[in-house]
Amino acid sequence: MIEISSYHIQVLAFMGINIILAVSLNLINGFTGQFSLGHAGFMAIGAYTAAILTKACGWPFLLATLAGALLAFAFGLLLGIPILRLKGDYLAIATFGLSEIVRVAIVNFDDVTMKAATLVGLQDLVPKEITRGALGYPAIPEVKSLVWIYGWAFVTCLILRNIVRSSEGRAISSIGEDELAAESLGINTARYKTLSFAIGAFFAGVAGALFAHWVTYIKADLFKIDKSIEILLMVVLGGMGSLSGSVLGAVVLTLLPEYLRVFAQWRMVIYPILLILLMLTRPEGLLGRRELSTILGVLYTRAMGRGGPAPGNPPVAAE
Amino acid sequence: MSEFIQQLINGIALGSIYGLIAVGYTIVYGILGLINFAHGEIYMMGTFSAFLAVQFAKSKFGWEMGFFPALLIGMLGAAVLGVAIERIAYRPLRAKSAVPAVMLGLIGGGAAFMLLGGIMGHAGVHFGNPLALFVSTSVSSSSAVEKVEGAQIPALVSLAVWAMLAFGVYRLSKEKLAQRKKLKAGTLTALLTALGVSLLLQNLGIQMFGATPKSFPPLVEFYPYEFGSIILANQDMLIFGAMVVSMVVLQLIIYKTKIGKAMRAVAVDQDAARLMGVRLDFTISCAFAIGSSLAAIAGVLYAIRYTKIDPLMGALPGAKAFVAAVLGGIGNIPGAVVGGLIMGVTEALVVGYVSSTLRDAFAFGILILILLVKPTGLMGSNQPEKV
Amino acid sequence: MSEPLLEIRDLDVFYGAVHALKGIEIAIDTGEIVTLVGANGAGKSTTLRAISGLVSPKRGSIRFEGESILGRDPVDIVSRGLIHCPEGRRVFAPMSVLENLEMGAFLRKDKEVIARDLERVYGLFPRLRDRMAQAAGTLSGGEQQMLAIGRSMMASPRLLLLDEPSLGLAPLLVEEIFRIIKRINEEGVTVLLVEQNAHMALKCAHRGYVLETGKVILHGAAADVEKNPMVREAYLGA
Ligand SMILES: Nc1ncnc2c1ncn2[C@@H]1O[C@H](COP(=O)(O)OP(=O)(O)O)[C@@H](O)[C@H]1O
Ligand SMILES: [Mg+2]
Repeated sequence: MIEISSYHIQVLAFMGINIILAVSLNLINGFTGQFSLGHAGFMAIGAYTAAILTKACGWPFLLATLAGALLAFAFGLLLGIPILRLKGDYLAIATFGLSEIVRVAIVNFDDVTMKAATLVGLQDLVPKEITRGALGYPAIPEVKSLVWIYGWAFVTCLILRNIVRSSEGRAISSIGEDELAAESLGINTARYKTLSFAIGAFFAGVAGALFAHWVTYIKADLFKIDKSIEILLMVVLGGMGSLSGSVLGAVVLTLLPEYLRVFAQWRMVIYPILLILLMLTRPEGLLGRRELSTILGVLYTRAMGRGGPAPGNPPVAAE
Repeated sequence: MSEFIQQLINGIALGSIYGLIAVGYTIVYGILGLINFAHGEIYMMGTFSAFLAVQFAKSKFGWEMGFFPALLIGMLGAAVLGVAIERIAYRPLRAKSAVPAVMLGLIGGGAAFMLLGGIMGHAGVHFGNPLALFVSTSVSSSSAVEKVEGAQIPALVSLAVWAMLAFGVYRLSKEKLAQRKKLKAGTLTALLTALGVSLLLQNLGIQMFGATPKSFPPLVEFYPYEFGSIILANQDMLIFGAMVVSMVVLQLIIYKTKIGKAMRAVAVDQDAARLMGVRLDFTISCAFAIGSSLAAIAGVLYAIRYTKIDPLMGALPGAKAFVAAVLGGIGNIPGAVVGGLIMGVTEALVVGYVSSTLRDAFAFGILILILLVKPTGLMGSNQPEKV
Repeated sequence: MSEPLLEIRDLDVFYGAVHALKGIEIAIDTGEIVTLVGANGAGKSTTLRAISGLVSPKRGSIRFEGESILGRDPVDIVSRGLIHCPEGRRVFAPMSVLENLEMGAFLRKDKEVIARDLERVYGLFPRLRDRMAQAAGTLSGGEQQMLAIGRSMMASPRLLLLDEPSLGLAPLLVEEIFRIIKRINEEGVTVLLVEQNAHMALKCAHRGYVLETGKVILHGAAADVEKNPMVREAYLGA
């Protein structure tokens, strides 16, 4: 038997959480083609909401997770409607700005609510400490369970797969391929964009809740742009518009840093170089828009020889 | 009232810095339709070039370098870096060009080598440090490689492995780059590349200069003019003056010189400009050089006024200057300056009257608001459709 | 007879998978007006883009004054006096009329000669002189077309490639444009004129080529091309 230490379990846990994050971001960035740099913001919303609910209000974990995710979903919906009118670079910067605002709001939450409450004379009704500002939020009830994490990861993948394969999913994908064309085909692009943004936010919220209850101590600085970029990197590496690609990307980019301990200090130099090289040589990511299953299927039929297509002429993978 | 005027002064100084950086975004965006996310890092690197030059001059030659030489070196450093970034990372995105596949090979080979080393380290096998062949080991002892036990691969073999990896990446990039279709800027690929460059420079900066803030030498001594309770620092006036002078010079370049006209023409219509005999690559390089040196001016002035510099100093001012550029209408140079001033003054007022922890949130709040209400910015933009 | 000024042989151009030109052969002699007519999408603009170096052909040869210019940079081609006035005017809208004209002379150094050419362009298009300081984008469509041609003239072309100069202009203006093209030619500039308006173009030109889906299907003296029954039916609506 290979001995599994708590260190290995921790790595596995983060891997599962990253899978949820990457797969859900792929719905927004990959399938719908909307460049979001704000995924960590939704993660923060889920993490803080769930943590406060379990710790301060004594809610059960599952309910708190769902509440955090729903709040993230609501924010996604509310903010998505105006924000998703923007395109490309502007959207990227605006989502980045949004997640910064979320972060600053968390840090200043107590001050602002207290001031507001004092203004209307309700200062006694409002707790002094809700998010505890820049100090971070400690002593969250611990839920160190891989079952929860991988259960959620499975649910995420399943739901997103079903969404992507549904007729709505095809509408969403057509936006990702060519928004103008999709619009001219009569697809309500605004609606689908907002919906996919909010669904992505929902699962980011789930990931945040799982994360908070695993590490038991969170602070707003954990959810900065660096985190959003890290998630984005997983999506890009795996392939925009490939769910299994995102899983692959999450696995690789969770393990890589662990293997790179020796070069820990150079890690953040190597990462961007890899990203640039990837963009210059294989911008579609490792799997492109294809799913692992179709690729394996092709390889399998090819390996079986007869019946498979000629090597130089691979079949078009189902989108 | 005097409090208000004081904040206004602070805001105008800060806003002049943002304005100078914003102009670089706007010039590059106007020409390429690309947000150069690395612009904040060019600002940082330019400042560090000046900083290192001052230190070097003092320690080697005992020369107390003055403001102007330091500024010029900073501008030069930033310009070289800006042009290099464009050549290596952005140009391959827009055209089949003689991309430095060699460069990619060397860098990528290095990264792959480190990856391999890290993974093999887990199996207890370590590469000797190939650098040790060229540099005395004491210099490169920062690497953890020498300290761990386990099998050690000779440095010469390591070098060979590195070379092989580098060659592999070189061949791959050469082949891939030859096949690649011309890409539109503004696509995810372009954005991610820019993001990658920005991250790379930040972290290279941390490796090279250390993460702890450094004290920038007071090249211009602080001297306050006091009007009652209002303090007007000579440095603030210098910042504002430098911004005004830079803008006048920039306007002269853009409207009176040939390269300036070429830049404007390229911003409107690349192909039409080429049909006039404008050299596209050279013109774009010039735009990067100009934008980058303006960022360096901002950086050196910032360092003199606020005394501390560090490798992450470009991130937030970069983002805020981008907001300023959008605010003024991206592609519009006077707009970028006005946007910068608005951002600076707003920030100072927020710090003075609301809360200093909210200063950054306000910047992004403004951005989102302006994008939703009037995405072309206050002064309109000449955002290119093509590229 | 000596070598033609411009000689295109067996030219193939692709846009990705689209095979836009399939073995084009065109020759132009010094002093001529040659017109290239054909339906929308036939490959006329692509031919000009290949000549001026904006697209790189897959195969074939393009020789100008006896030298191969295939695969050269547009800057090099412009400096040889081979000037392409693109379809759709493409003036630099925010720049003034004068600045636009100056851009035409971008590669030229001799200030005096440039000043003389500016006078010549103002002579051809007096209206541009009145609008000198105005932003090009504020001109009317016809004026913008004149500016585009004037801008090309500022490069002192030996061979001028004109892409659909009559596009979208009122009939009176179309006639004026064609008159000016003739005048430019009489002043010694060889012209390759691309037109959908085959009728006017063939009347103006010495020789004509008919392009269809990337191939030259017919060429000869303009009058003969005009009389060809197939051309009459397909392009002249007769
Ligand atoms: N940039 C491009 N990308 C792909 N196809 C193009 C492009 N430009 C032109 N084409 C195609 O090449 C063919 C020739 O186009 P063009 O030379 O513009 O025709 P014309 O000028 O005769 O109307 C057309 O089928 C057109 O669709
Ligand atoms: Mg055409």
